[in-house]
Amino acid sequence: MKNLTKIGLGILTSVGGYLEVGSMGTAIQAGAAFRYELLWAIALGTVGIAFLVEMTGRLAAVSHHSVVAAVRKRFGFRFQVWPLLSQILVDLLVLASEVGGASLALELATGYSFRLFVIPVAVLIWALLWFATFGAIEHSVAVLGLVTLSFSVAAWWLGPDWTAVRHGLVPHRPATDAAQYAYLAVGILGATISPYLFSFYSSGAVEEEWRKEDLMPNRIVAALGMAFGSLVAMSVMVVAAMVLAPRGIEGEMYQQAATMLSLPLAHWGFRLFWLSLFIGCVGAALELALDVSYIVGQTFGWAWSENQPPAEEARFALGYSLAIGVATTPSILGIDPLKLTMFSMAVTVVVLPILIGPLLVVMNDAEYLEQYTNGWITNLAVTTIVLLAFVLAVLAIPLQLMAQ
Amino acid sequence: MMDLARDLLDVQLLDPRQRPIGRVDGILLEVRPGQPPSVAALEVGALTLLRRVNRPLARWVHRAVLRWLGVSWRPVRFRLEHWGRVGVDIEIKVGERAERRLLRFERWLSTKIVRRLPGGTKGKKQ
Repeated sequence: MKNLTKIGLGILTSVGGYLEVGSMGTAIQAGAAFRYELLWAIALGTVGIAFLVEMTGRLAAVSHHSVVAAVRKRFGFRFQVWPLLSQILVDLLVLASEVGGASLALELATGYSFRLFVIPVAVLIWALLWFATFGAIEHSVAVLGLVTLSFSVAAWWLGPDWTAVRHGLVPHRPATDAAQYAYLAVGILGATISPYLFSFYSSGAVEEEWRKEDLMPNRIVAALGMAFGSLVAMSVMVVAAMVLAPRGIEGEMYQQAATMLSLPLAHWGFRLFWLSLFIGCVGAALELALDVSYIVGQTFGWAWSENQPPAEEARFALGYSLAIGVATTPSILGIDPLKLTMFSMAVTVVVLPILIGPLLVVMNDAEYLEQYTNGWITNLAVTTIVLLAFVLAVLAIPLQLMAQ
Repeated sequence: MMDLARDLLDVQLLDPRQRPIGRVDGILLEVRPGQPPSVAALEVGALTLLRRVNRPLARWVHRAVLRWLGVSWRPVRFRLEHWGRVGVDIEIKVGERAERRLLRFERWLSTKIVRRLPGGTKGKKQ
């Protein structure tokens, strides 16, 4: 039963990480514009996030520290304030994107403007956090998240050109529009290696009181959970490549892009599209809002648990309530959810080194990890992927801005 | 033997019921002539934290809070005899007065707002 809970946490983390507006938006745009050519970015991001999730689960199981608590203790508050502020900024931006994404899903379902749905969506997210326990949220999102497998069914049914898919899995230069290609690669990497994912996962692991016996299940969950999400994100790109690209539909034209499942799955396709987007965005928004409360509570050493009634941990409840309130602003102002998403993903990649650098130091400190410190493969893989994403972002963002 | 910066500063504090009540935000040293400095007390409070980041900013915020909210924002101090280690955390005997000061905002928020909202007090189980 306990292992099932762990798998639930893995899938919840994965659903929140891959099936939300960031991953879906970037995968659709990339598939529509470059067909399979950016599959490698999802694969590379998946390797990165699987390593990071495994690391933070290990940190929780061995040292009983969440990432934030360990970084504050290891480096002191004067240093930790910078990763903390960066993470709050990124969490709020991505949360705003998810609120926009869920509202957009309802626009697709009803035909009314997404701005009408921003407040109801925010209230729904808040109410779920206010009334439900961590376990209830975890299990329902994990089960509902399975609906997103419809993309994989669609991709399989369409029968992609497997040689082209294999070619897409290897990083290469594009034939045209290198600036857009690099910017989308950055967006995909930012959507995949989301810092809230591993800080959320480590908080969940501390809250569920993982022990050293949980190290092996942790490893399996990190690999399988992230592989599950990655499979769906790749399926989204494949379907976009096969349905949207030949018809010249761009990923930004989401009204038309939303019909991408209609070809393989007939009239169910459109419904499954908006339903997947809605569930994925709400799932991610729950994680993001909780993450804000977690990291603030852990920094200041307050009680933090999603399983207590709000009155027992009023500051914790205030944290996610404020975060949700702030995150509704861009969508109420009418900022396009997909543009906001791409911007949020790019900012995420730029701040990754500030967030992951200190974590790597902690993961190599035997004071915290005893004999379970990182091996050289983990250190090399995470450092390479984060630096590569950062360099790509520093090059691609100005190019994209100039192109616009 | 204890490395203050590594083993004491920023460590989680628990009350005797094992509830998290804050972190060691600062350490107060006592310096007596002819003797090595010794730890006099642990400090918990946002003002101490802010001082560690930027002293002028901390002074300014302290004055602003006092003036606009009328709340004294001094850190809570715990003398050495009040604490013991529990695993990676520190357990501390918290007097009623110290607890009231540490949880002032939490209690205000809980009684004035959260308890008055539906579902604020119950509905969840461990």
